[in-house]
This record gives sequence, structure tokens and C-alpha cells, in this order.
Amino acid sequence: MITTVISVSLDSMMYFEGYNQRVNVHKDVAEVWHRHRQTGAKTVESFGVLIGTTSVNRREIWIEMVTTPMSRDQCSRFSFSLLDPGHQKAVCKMFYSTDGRAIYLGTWHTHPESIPEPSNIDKNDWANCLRMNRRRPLAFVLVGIEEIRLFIQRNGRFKSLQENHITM
Amino acid sequence: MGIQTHFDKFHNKIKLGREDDAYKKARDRDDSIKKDVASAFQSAGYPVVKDFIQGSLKTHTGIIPISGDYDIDRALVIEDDVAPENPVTPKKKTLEVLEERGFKNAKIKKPCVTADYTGDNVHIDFIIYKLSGDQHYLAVGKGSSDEKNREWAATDPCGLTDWINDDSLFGVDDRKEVLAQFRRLVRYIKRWRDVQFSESVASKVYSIGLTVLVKEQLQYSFSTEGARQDLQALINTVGAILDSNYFTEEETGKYRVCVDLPKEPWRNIFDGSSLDTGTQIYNKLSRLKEQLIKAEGLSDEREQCKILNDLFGKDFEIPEPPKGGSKSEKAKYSSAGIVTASVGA
Repeated sequence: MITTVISVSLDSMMYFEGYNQRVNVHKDVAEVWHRHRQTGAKTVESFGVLIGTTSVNRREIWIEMVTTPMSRDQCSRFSFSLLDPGHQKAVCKMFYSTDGRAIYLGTWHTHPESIPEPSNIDKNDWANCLRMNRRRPLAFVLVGIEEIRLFIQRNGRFKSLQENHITM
Repeated sequence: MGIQTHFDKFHNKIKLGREDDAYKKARDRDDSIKKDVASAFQSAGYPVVKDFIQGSLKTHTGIIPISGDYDIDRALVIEDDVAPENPVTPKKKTLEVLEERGFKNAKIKKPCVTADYTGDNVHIDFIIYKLSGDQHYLAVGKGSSDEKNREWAATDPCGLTDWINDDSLFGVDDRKEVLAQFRRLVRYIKRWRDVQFSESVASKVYSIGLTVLVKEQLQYSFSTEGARQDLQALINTVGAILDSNYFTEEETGKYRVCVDLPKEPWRNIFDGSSLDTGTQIYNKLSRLKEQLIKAEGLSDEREQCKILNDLFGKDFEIPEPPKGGSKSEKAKYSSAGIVTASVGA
């Protein structure tokens, strides 16, 4: 279980670890999540896709960039639909500019609760993402008000990884 | 991490602040000599009415010297109506004090009196002014200067400091952040100067000249989210300096550099500097820009840092390859992956 309060500092890097997997989060990405937290009573859900690289053995991944809501997406306080083709475009752009190393690595979205729990809609959607991207080490991020949680699939279940920080 | 993290680390390594230990030692030396000079001035009938530190410590652009010598620019001000008519007189008095205190290498230079504490790597320049109303006059002249070569020259030392610290020219953006980026850029360029030029030429590539160039041509850069982009800012600022008219090609491939002080006496900071110095500055700035652009185009941070380390020296560190390998050891994929029409709740 993750218990650390979100703290985004320029001098530390956030990473998640567990189930033989390590996920490093770029500082700019952590800042985007921090900024989109649903702290106000009327703020709507924010969301986007994760883009990054993986080690050759795929046990370590680097989330280097995320997209944020675009004009053709739909969202309310409690739900969203990622419909804008701009997200796919952003993934392709990174893919080509890194010579095939940066790829689509999953999704992130906010929840208006302190410690976010995935809903059944979330889990079904994540399973669908994995089906469409077989053999890719996808991760799914929930940004709560106090905590950020990252989930991966192991043996058909979604497991959250332990959040850590390294001070630079 | 992003290349900015490496610039931030580099900046932390090179910046010199008033409270830094290394500098404090220099300040202690300075304080004790200053008292002796002030009491000698008092006895001579022209008491010091104010004193201040000039230079990069006042403008937050000081760097830790790679030579290990700490410079202090100590200004002493006397009243106009009791000031000796000959500007060299108080400078000779200063020299006497320094010699009494055992400085063998103290000497009167045209704009100041210099003293080296070789044991402590402290170098102090005493700059003498007289003050008439709000106007400062600098004591110009060497020990041997005749009347034609010495003068109380009108100057505006505080105006220059204020001009460097002024952020009102930066438009409507976050001025504090822009000013901080300006100061970082000045520090980067000063360290680049210390690393890239031979010691004798570096001493002629005056810090105040570089500071004025960066200030006048600053092209600050922040992401749309407001994150610092020092590499981008540096590329564009160096580009703007080269594209302006500071350099005049006097012969093919030979440049004269001219940067005017933005305050009284408005003179060319590089007045009297040789064609060789101007040419070296121009060529090395061109290479700096070229290499920075090359670094910007790379996606591997270590490779970027290697170039920056070559430009800025060992304090711009090349990180160890990250656990799990560098970019080149990362997996290559045949497709970007499919973004599904995700829904969530």
C-alpha cells in the first residue's frame, strides 16, 4: 500500500516499485499530476496517457511525459472519456523522435478522493488497454488529493506499487 | 530528469554568495584592512563617509573562482569638499597602509589600489570615490600619473548595480523568475569564460562586460507550465549577442568588441582591448552556441551533459549511467502503442 503524501520537489524523483517492476516518474510528470489534483469542490476529472521508455527486459520503465485533457475529450467531476486523437498523435510523435523507444505506457486520471481506489469502470478500461497493447508493460495511475497510486496487472489482478522518492 | 536538473546542480556548485564560508574569510580580511585605511583617511583630513562592496556579490552573479582567488571590490567614499584635489593622493595613502601591513605586492592601478593576500587567496581592489551631492567621482590615475593622466572621473557605481538588478525591463512575465534566470546565465557564461580562455585572456574578458551583454540581450525561456529552460535561454541569448552589433569585423575573421557601460561614464568596457581578444570572444561564443544547439538536439541526458561538461568544465557533472541502463540500452519497439478511447470514473 502507498502511504506517502504527495510531495513534488525539484530535488527528488518519484518512483514506484514492487512485483519485480520499477516505474520512474519524470519530475515534470509529477508536477502535472500534482497540479491537476481535484482539490476544489467543483474541479472536474483530469486524465491523459502515459508516454515513456522501458529497459530491454521491461522490468524498469520511465514515464517521461503525459498528455492532459484536450478539446474533444469529455469529462465531469466523476468521469471522463478520452476521445481526442491528439493523445495518439502525442504518442506517435514521441515514438518517432526517440527512434522507437518511447511508447504508450498506460493512462492516468484524477479522483476526487484523498486515497484513490479504482472503480470497476477503471479496471475494465485498464484491462481493455492491456488487450489492445499486448506484451507491453502498461501502468495505470490514479491521482488522488493526497496520494498518487500506480497499478500494474499481475496474474489478472491490478496491484498497486509502493511509492518512493530519491533525493537528487 | 531533464537537462534543467543538471543546470541546477551546476549552478549550485558554482554560485558564490555573500554568506559562503570561502567568501567570509575574504570579507574578514577586507574588514580589518578597511578600518586601517579609514583611520588613515580620517587623520589625513578626508574621512570615509560611506563604503560599500561593488561587483558581482551585489548583483548576485558571483561565481566560485576556479583559480581559487577570491576578489572583493571595496569602495571607499570621501566628501567632495575635503577631498584632495589630486585623486592619486588618497590612493597613495591606501598604498601606505597596505605596505605597513606587509603587502609587498600592493600597487596603484589606474582605477583602484590592489592588494593580494596570497596566503588566503584573497584579492582586494580598493576603489576610491569622492561624493558631491548624488554624484560619485572615481579617483583615476597611477602613482606616476601627471595632471593629464589623473582625474576625478564622474561615474555611477550604484546606478550600474541597480541597472543589473533591475527587473522592470522584463515585461509582464514573472519578473523574479526572469531575474533569477538572468543571474544564472551570467554565472554560466562567467564559468565558461574561466574554462575556455587562457588565464591571461580570461582576465581581459571582463565580467562586467559579459554581464552587460547578457542583460541587454537576455532571451529568457520558460515552458508553458513555467518550468525553467536555461539551456534554451542560453542558446537564444548567446545567439542574440552574436547577432547584435557588439562585434565589428575589422579584418577578415578579426573582430573588435565594443560594449558600452549602460551608466556614466558610458565608456566602452573593452576600450583598449586587442583585436585578438575580440576575435577570441567572438569565435568562442560562436562555438558555445553551436555546441549548445548540438546538446539540445540530443535525447540522451548523459550525452547532453558530456557536451556541457566540455563547455563549462568539471562542475557540470556527467551523471553515472542510470540503473537499468542508459537510453541506448532501452528497449526498441516496432510501434508506438494504441491509445484506446479510455473511460474512467
